[in-house]
Amino acid sequence: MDPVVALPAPLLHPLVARSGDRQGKERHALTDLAVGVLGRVQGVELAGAMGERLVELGFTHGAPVTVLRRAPFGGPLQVRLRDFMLSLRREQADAIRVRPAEGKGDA
Amino acid sequence: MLEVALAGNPNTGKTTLFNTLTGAHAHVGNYPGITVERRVGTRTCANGETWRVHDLPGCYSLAAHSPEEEIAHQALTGRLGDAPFDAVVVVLDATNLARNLLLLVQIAELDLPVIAALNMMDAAAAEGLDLDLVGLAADLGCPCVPMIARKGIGIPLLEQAVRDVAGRRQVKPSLVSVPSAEMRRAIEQARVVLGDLVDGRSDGEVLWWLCSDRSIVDRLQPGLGKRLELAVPRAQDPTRDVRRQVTESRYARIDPIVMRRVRRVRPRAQTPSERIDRWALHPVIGTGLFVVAMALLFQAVFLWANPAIEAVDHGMAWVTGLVHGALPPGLLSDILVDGVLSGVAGTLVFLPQILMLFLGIALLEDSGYLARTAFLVDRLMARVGLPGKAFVPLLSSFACAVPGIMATRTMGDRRDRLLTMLVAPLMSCSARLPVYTLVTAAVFAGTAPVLGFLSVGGLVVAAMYGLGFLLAVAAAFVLRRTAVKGGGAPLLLEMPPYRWPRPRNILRALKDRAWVFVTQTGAVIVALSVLLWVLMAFPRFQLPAEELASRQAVVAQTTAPDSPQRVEALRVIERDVERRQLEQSIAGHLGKAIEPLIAPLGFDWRIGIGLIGSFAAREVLVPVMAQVYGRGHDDSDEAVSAVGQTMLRSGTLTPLRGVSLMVFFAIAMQCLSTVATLKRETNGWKWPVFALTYLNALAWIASFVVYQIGAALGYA
Ligand SMILES: Nc1nc2c(ncn2[C@@H]2O[C@H](COP(=O)(O)OP(=O)(O)OP(=O)(O)O)[C@@H](O)[C@H]2O)c(=O)[nH]1
Repeated sequence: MDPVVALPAPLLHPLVARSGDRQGKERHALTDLAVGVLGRVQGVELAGAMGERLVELGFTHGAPVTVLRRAPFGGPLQVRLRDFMLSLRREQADAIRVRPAEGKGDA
Repeated sequence: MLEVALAGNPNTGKTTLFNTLTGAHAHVGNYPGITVERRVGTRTCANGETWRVHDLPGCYSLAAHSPEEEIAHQALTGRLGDAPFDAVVVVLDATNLARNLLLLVQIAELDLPVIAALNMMDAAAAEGLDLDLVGLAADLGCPCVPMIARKGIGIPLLEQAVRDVAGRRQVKPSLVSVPSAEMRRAIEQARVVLGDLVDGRSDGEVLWWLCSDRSIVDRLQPGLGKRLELAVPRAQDPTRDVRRQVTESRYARIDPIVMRRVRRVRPRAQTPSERIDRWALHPVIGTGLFVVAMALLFQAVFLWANPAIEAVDHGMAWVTGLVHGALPPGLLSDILVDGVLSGVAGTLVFLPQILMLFLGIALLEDSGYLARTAFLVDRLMARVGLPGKAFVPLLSSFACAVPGIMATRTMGDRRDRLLTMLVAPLMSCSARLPVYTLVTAAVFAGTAPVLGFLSVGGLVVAAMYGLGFLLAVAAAFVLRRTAVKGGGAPLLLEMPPYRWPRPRNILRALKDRAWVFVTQTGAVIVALSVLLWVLMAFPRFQLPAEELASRQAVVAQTTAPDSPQRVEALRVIERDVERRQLEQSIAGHLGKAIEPLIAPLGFDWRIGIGLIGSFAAREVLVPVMAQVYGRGHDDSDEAVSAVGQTMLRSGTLTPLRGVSLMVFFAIAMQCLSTVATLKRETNGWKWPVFALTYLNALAWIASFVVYQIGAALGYA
């Protein structure tokens, strides 16, 4: 019995999540995440309305995210975020920090 | 009468539920001053109670980044003049609860009586999700109703929930997020700036103003957005911004609840949609499928609508004949037939194409494929400076700009949509073809084919299509930096799971579309068509009695009674009257008056009259030119080419002038139906007037360049 949405990382173990950030280790952009690998959102480094919109859509700290495919020629990405699919351009995906989650990928 | 609002994310089944609840008792209108459609219907419940059901625009968040969200908020907070809602039913997709609950929380924070309608329970079960509804209701503090809207399951429970909530009025979900100290401070500071706007209203209301786009806030209250940003500045590091914290804190409340109350009884498996996407979004196979799908859509609008268009034409011709026969000849009959009825015909004739296109779009949208097309073409379209979602509207505009412009309503971003509407008329539509045929048949018929097989006429026509497209790209580039600044919404769109389209939803959507077009756009088309008729029919011309008598006498002497010759000779007189009527009408004088303006393009006053007359629709140029020359006309190709020959002989047309004329028609906006559609879709006269001005100026410049360079090179 798996939970559908895992608790946001800070609620689970705030110290672990924060210390990883501080060392700047293992901080990838969503664009760099290999296809099919489960990642956890670390933050959206995009100012203004666009960044706020992404957070509202569910790119919150700790949310599970997987890249499903990339359109050829630098086209958009298809992504599974939490429990839905969406597409977004590389410019935005570049600004979304993720950490590859240890353990099984669920998508 | 209970006032019930339906809110929800896009694609959660809100429309399906609205249709089920209201049956046939609904109508579509517009919100004032904005292009978001408003749908209101009535429901009579099993126990006889009646509801007025308001379908709010679908949105992911209430914080306004688009007119949809702005309207949803304004409606919920009673700023649109509706009675306050007795219940707000938030339709949630049970397979994707967390993101859907964000909206519910935002609405609940406005102190509104919410109900969680957990839709798509069938899909949730199929995915192996088990929802603990009692637990959810306890955690959320509002009624939770399981539903399968597309099967009509869950309605009685929903009726009960609405009754409970409406009776109690104050249902406060326990879900409302607890602000951090920083958020509290921001709320207090914002309250000072907002003043009366939020007096006595909830913190949720304050947060709405704080988190909405500055441009929207400024539009509602000039200068307010800026003052808010000064009072609550954005953090240097965007991830630390208080506006983000608001959303993060809401999710921090939602996520544990979802984790507790939604169990996965089977491990997550690849969904059918993911399997289909392996093919549908495959770089080669997916692209091939896309081309086939778009080719079919185009065929449907361009060709398959034709029998219906002809049927409309015949039907209207029949009605016109009836009216003509029933009324005594004279002004009344003329205004009814040539003004009003031709406007009605000019409206109805678009219906087949509109219905075909919207049938195609409804199928694409309901099946979930439309979002995939944007994914596939986004890169290509971005390269020419247009959003991926503009593809279908622009493709349809090659058949006709009217349905094409209407199709832009599938685009989310307002600026992107406006931009697409403004360049859509540049796509060479099918109404330009008769004009192209007129010219090419007359001036290029005898020229030897290029390379032995490419006809010059064909090449020139192809060049016109290319010209329109290239100018559209250039215009988009310029407009994006001038008149339609900003926008350019980044492709950020949900890809809903593939689903079987529902015939009932589609029929309903088509009915609404047709109704809106006929009643609203149609009214403008008829009005403009009457105006055009007045221009061409006044002042009235009457053949002087002596002249008529003497010409009739000549006919009587030279032809045998009832002989074809006599009929023809009488027709000649009639056509001569028509020609002179046109020539001395306002339109005729206008045509002559604009001759100095169009002479540099190689056009004489006859074409000037043609340009004015063809404002009814581009293809009308051909019969108007026939009338200018006092010739008879039918729609056959021979007749078209005969008109062209006449123009050629009179010197009105030469190869160079012909090309100049084609260039003008390829670019100019001379279509009152497009004007009417722009008026309806942008809800005002500003943008249609803008499009008229810039397109016609562009057409003038292009024709000028073509004609002057051609003339300098020694063509005439
Ligand atoms: N499996 C399932 N599908 C449903 C259910 N209700 C609606 N749908 C489907 O979900 C899709 C979206 O439904 P709509 O009613 O158009 O959703 P909407 O929220 O109005 O979406 P927008 O028009 O985009 O705002 C359609 O294909 C429906 O047939 C349901 O209970 N179960």
